[in-house]
Amino acid sequence: MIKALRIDHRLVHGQVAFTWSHHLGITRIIVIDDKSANDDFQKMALNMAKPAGTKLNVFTVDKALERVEKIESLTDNIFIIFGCAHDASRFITAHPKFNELNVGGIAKKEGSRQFSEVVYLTSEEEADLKAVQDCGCALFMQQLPTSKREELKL
Amino acid sequence: MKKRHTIIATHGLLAKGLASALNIIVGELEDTTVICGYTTPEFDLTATIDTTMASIDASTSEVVVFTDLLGGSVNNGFITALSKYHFHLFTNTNLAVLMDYYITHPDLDEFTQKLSGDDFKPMDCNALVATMQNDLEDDL
Repeated sequence: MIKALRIDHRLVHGQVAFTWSHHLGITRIIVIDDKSANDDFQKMALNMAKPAGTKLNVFTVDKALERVEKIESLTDNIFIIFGCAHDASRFITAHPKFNELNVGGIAKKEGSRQFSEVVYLTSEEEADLKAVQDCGCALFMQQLPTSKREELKL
Repeated sequence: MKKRHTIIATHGLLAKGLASALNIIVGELEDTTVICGYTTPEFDLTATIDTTMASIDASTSEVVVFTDLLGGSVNNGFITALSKYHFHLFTNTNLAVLMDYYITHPDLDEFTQKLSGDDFKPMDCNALVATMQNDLEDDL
């Protein structure tokens, strides 16, 4: 079952691989990110970053959508990580069955607006996330299981 | 079960640095004392240990100490203190060890066993990259 969805531009890193995964009892991490899925070296690096005993897949949005029913039928506790708002939006709007999305980290860019210490959105990213919200998926920001959970107000 | 009080003690600012990294990755550290040794000429390790131990209620808290280096003076000081206070002492501490400790709240005997495994050792990543087959499973 899918336990949580998170956008994190750092993909699989300490907070995700260790802290969240332990907190949620995760047995499989699925990275949905077109850029990483098309980069073999990056895929290998992600594979090295996964916690011991956890399975990892790296899919493009299209491949993840093709396999979404299979993913949902797995007995694993699954953590879905998107690398960017655009891929998250493409996945969730095409399969609008999720209640909430944790916007964990989106890097500061030229012309982006600050929403938290680690979340910066350009107008394109805001539009992507608005589309997520419009299909019934609530947006929130929470760095760690013990840190404050805030609603993301666009 | 007794609650735990943790002490991270090192030469210089390493202890503070470890705590700072843990704050980012794990979150707030509960019941933790950070000791940065020898950052001033007046630093007195024995007195610091005495003050720290006196501030912890040993009847309600189990004390766990992590130091930086076997044979270093910080660890030597805590070894001496083992004759005076009851606590569990781990050394050659690194970030991975502390992350596991704070995330999993392990039973200390099990933790000791785990420390001898491969998860916490320094690793040569170039060698790993060179030998790692690109065997990422695309299947579910």
